[in-house]
Amino acid sequence: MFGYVRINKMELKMKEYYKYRGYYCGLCKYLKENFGEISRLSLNYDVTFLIILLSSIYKSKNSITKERCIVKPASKNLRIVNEITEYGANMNIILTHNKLKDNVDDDKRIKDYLFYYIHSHVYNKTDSTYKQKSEFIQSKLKELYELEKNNTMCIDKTSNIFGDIMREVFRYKEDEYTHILGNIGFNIGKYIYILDAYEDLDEDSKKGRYNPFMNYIDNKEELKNKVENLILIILSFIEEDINKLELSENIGIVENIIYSGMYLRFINIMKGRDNDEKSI
Amino acid sequence: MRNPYEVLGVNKNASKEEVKRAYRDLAKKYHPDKHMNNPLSELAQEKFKEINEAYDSIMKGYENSGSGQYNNTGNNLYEVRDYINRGDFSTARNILSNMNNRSSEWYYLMGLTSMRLGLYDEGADFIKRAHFMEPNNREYKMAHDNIINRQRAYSSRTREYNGGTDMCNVCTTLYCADCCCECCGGDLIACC
Repeated sequence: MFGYVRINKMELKMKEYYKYRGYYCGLCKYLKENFGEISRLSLNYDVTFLIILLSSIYKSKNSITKERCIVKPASKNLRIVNEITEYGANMNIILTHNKLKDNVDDDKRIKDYLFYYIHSHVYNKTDSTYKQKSEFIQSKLKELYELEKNNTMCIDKTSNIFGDIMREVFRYKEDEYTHILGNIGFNIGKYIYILDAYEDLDEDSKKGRYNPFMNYIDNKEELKNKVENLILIILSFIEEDINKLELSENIGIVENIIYSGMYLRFINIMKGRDNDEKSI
Repeated sequence: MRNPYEVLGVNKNASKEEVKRAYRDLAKKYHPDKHMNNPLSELAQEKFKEINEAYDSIMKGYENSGSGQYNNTGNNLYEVRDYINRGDFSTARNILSNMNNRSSEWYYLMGLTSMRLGLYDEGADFIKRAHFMEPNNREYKMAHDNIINRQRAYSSRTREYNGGTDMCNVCTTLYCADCCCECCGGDLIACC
């Protein structure tokens, strides 16, 4: 379900690109060191965006080092770690854990059980200060599960639950930014849920799985129109809230994500083309 | 309490429409959402409360004197607007959901609360419907245009960001500017 919130490498300045990779690399290494090798498999672009956004707001002191990475051993890469990396890593684990749990409840494949079992060890290492967030996410996912079981065809209701989950993830701490950050998270959650549902419609239909857009299976043009309208409203709200934050640091990366990365990802899905850039 | 007419800045003989308009303008100006992170927030909140109280008391006066022809549902819609102005969208939406009389204003208010609660799909539909039922109502038209405009504004900014202007565009713009200048007797680029 994740990986929709990304950069568009082509429109980024070199130094911004290296910085983005630095944050990504910092998260990855942090996961490895604190949660073990397995946790790195769940590395998440959406969380990288969160780390960049929060680092920009709180102007966190970065510790920057150059290191080799097993993925690209030939060259040394920047690695940026700060106080927010720890928060991002914990959120990454919590989201992945709940997603895997959801897979177990949904599909009941042996592979899912295995992943879930292995990942449980990782999950147990998360900081107990975040247990409350995790419990909230679990209860929301349960709500979503109930709606899906009842075959709800209301995209507003289902996507709002996922929005609420991401709202919780984006609420870093209680201060003057909580409200705006929460709203950004909420709209990002909706963006992810709606695009994911749209993209999976054909496959879900074939496999007889739940999809909130199932009523539109024979009316793709109308659905396309609807999704386009919804996503544009959502993105315009995200843009509005980001502007309220008056960022200075990392602004180039954040703008790249909201004006290019997220937008092009959406346009490509609408065109039925998925030019995935698996590795950044 | 201060004289409610004074608070809203209207004449004592003002019509309901005038009171409503004055209230709406002031509510917009002092809405707590607008002053969330600024030092005036407490002052704005107080002012906002005062405006709401003044408005309520004037409207009650209209009812009692019999000059207001509002039926039950009409009153409820005022209550709903009140909740919306206070930022309590869930309560506003609950009241609306329990109403049977679905006027254009009902659709408009329902759309407004839906949008604020993240229910964008139905929210946009409700507002469209209100605008369709009463195309000449400026309030509904504004809400309707607002949705379309914000989508357009975002799209145009993405075009700008993703290399919307290339060198050809720059040349044509310069050429046009030059032509314009020449028409007016001046010259922007001397060689052509």
